[in-house]
Amino acid sequence: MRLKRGLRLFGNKKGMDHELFFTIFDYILATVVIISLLAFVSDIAKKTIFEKNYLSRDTALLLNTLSSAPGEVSYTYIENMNMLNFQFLDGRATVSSQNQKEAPAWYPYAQNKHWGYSFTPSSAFDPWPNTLVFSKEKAHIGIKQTYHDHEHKDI
Amino acid sequence: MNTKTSEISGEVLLTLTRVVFLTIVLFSVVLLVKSFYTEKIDIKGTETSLFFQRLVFSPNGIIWQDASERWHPGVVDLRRFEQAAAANPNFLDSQWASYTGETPIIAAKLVLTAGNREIVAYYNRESFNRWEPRALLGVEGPASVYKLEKEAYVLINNGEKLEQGKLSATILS
Repeated sequence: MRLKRGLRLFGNKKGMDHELFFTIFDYILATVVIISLLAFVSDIAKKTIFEKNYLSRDTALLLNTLSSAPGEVSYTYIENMNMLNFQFLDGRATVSSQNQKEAPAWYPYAQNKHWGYSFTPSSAFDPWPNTLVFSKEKAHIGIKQTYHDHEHKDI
Repeated sequence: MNTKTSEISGEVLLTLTRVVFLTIVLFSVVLLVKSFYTEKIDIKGTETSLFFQRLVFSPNGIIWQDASERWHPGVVDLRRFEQAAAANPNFLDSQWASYTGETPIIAAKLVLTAGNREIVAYYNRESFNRWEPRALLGVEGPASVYKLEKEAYVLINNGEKLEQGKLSATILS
């Protein structure tokens, strides 16, 4: 008579050995798969490369837009930029993160050589600001990085 | 006949099926996560459109500046346009919109129609000549070139008076 597998597991010692082996193998496999998936999702969630790429392109486009404006412009740029650092130098908008292992992202913008460009980073006290103020006055484009906390509602 | 060998073979078969199923589930989740995760940001359309706006409105380019040093957006200075058409590279590449130290990411062919005359000037002509054959309609991908064609009716200052004209641009990025 053929026994059901469950019955054989408890009734047949030899049968239990390989059943147990396959069951343990299944559990190990499932654990590995779950850990891999969680690691994959966590890795993607931690990555800031998309944010950096987005912000470098967006700020470079903004500088090109300011260059297109015939008059004077002042624009306060508020995005989710926590823990990111900016640099505007030699026609490059560069965004880097606190994690030094991650490469910075940059995007070029076209400079008008008749104009002056200046970038004022925030003080060392506020190393990770989240507001950029772009202004164009006559033949000068200035970018100022400021810390924006919850008390400054007027920004 | 139900021998131990056949039992184990059956278990192996079942385990292999489970492994295959788990692999499918694993890749399904990866694909699902990837579908929500945007990696590519394409701004070529915006960039080329913005370039045309810059051409028509921005100072130090082809627009006219009067004696009081006031720039007139939308009014093309014929003398400046002819100056740009006469040389390559010209002041548009090196002064007006310069990608310092970088390979330019935009190139353009500009055609100004003034009466019966057509004057052709280039922005980054070398890049334009290189990219134009690759600007094929409907072809997308990392090595593809985006092409935008724009036209605007403009006023042209020929030094004596204002006349009607048309500015056409083929912009590649």
